[in-house]
Amino acid sequence: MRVLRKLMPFIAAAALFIPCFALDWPVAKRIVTGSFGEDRGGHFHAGIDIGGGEQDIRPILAGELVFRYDENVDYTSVPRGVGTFAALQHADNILSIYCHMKTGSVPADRTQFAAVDRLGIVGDTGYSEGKHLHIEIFDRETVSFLNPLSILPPLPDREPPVIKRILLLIRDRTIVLESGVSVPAGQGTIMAEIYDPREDVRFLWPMAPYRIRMAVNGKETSKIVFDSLYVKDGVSMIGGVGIGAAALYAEDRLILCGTIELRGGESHLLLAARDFAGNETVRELFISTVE
Amino acid sequence: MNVKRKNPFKLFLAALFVIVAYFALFPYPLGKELVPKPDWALSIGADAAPAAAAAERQAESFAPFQLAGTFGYVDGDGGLVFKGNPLFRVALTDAGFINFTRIGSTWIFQDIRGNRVFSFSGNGYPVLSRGAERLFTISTDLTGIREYDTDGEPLWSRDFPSLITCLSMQSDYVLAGLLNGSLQLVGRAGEELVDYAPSGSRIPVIFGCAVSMDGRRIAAVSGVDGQFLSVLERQGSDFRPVSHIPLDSDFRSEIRMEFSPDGRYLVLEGSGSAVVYDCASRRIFTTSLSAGLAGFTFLQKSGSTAFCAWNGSRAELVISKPFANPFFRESFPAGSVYIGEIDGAILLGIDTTLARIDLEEM
Repeated sequence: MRVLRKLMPFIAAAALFIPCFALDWPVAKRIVTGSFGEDRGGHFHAGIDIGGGEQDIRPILAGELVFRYDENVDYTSVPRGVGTFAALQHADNILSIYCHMKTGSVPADRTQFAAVDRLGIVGDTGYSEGKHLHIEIFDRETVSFLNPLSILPPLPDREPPVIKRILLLIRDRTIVLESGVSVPAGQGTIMAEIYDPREDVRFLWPMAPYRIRMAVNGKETSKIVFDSLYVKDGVSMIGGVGIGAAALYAEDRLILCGTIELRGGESHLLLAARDFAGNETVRELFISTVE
Repeated sequence: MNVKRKNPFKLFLAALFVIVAYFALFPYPLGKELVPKPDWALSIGADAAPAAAAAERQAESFAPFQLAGTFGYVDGDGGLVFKGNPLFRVALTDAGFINFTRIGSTWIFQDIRGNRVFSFSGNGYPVLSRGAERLFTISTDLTGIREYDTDGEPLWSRDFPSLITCLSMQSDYVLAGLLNGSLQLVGRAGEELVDYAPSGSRIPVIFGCAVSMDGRRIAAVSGVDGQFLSVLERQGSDFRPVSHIPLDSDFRSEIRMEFSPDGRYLVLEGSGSAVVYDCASRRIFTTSLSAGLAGFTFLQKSGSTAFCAWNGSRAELVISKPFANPFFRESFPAGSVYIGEIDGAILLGIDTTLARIDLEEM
């Protein structure tokens, strides 16, 4: 039993590793233009957006179509911002959902799809400002959306996340933090403008990184991981810390990274943002506290 | 022995007299038949515009319509009160509408004559309850709902764990069916009243849901490979499943379903049919249709239901009393259809024509 327990992490890793090889990207041209967990006006983006223009969509894995909606064709009781979409059921209780597809592109009388079959065509139906595929991965067992980047084959990415500015909200004041700055003592909140650019995206869009880590005086105080979304008491939470969109995102593209206790003297603040490819940006600041 | 033979003709006359006398002395009225009778027809084509008289008349009844790329309101006498074209979609109710664009965050609620009543801003797409008493937005990714007051102030919001596949709203209740196979009933203040997952299918998904007007019952059609109608009734403060009926359908998209206004029946789309569930006996009755169910309307005055089936080029109008075979069935060419109710009569739309059809007792 003890041996089995020791082997569990390896068994779990192997179980994740095997399907990774079988999974593939749903489109040939892959330009990630929207990230998992990014701010979408008070709620988290539950999938990723893939640009690249009109192209065929294939399932990430063989699956069974369990729900479809064709914009302007099918009946709906609710306005669907996802436009024409299809949901496929795969093994291991995983659902993949393909949105904003071209009207009429999903075969009407077919339910079984192999990974090589065409499921539909990238379109701009629903709440969409251009042709793109929005894909979501839903895990029935954990009742959560998973970051598609965590299960799809890795994409090359050489651009590290950007930590553009760090702010301290303390005693109703917002102070721009730079090394050597003096701030009043007390409990404050660290806010930062952090986004993850991609070299193939030619416009600035505040895509979320994979992980944000904050440490004060060498001790990790918060870690936000954009790996899954789940609902607790009617509020969607990002995995890791379990924080809602309203508590994570502030105005002006700011992310509330965590709280800090400043009690006189000098404090060392470390803020690190990492993307899925492993690129990391670290900002370190020394903050002087005045009583 | 002389036997006198009875006269058969006299016997026949006697029998006839007895029968006639019986019906004369104990008359039994035969039930009157309901016969559909067209009242008026109205063109809503490109040239049609609301007549000033109709737009200003304080008619007793108005009904919305949505047909062939237009929407609007007519009155009970066949006057066109308002006509418009959806910008992207229209949240259409008996009391007014919001015509909204594909991308936008500010919306205007207009009354049935098109007059601006109020505006508000938010994220998502607007949704109105039946009488426009309540105002919501649905997040564009179909995972959240938010209610607003008429000043545009958010009252509450709620996220769902999976995509919304269907939605049903009554005055105090919002019922959402989800892609993960669960059914969530939300109360007036956004509180969760029910979280129920119908069982019995290989793959759980909700394809249609309905909440009765009084909130006593909720229902859903769910599941792939084993599709079921589940009905739950409120018993005290809890909802308990009272019916779990296997269906012969294999839907993979949303279906139409709705409780009758009196809460006695539930109508839902079946496989090439309309299915009526009787809440008292908990039995179902199936009426076959020539195509998929494109709409239905409850006709309270006559206690009947009108179903409209449509295959893209032909439509079929079927009218029946609950748990009885149709007393009217007629098919006709139609490029688009709409069915609604006005003043207890059928409001039927075919292409660019709206017609009122009364049910008269003959």
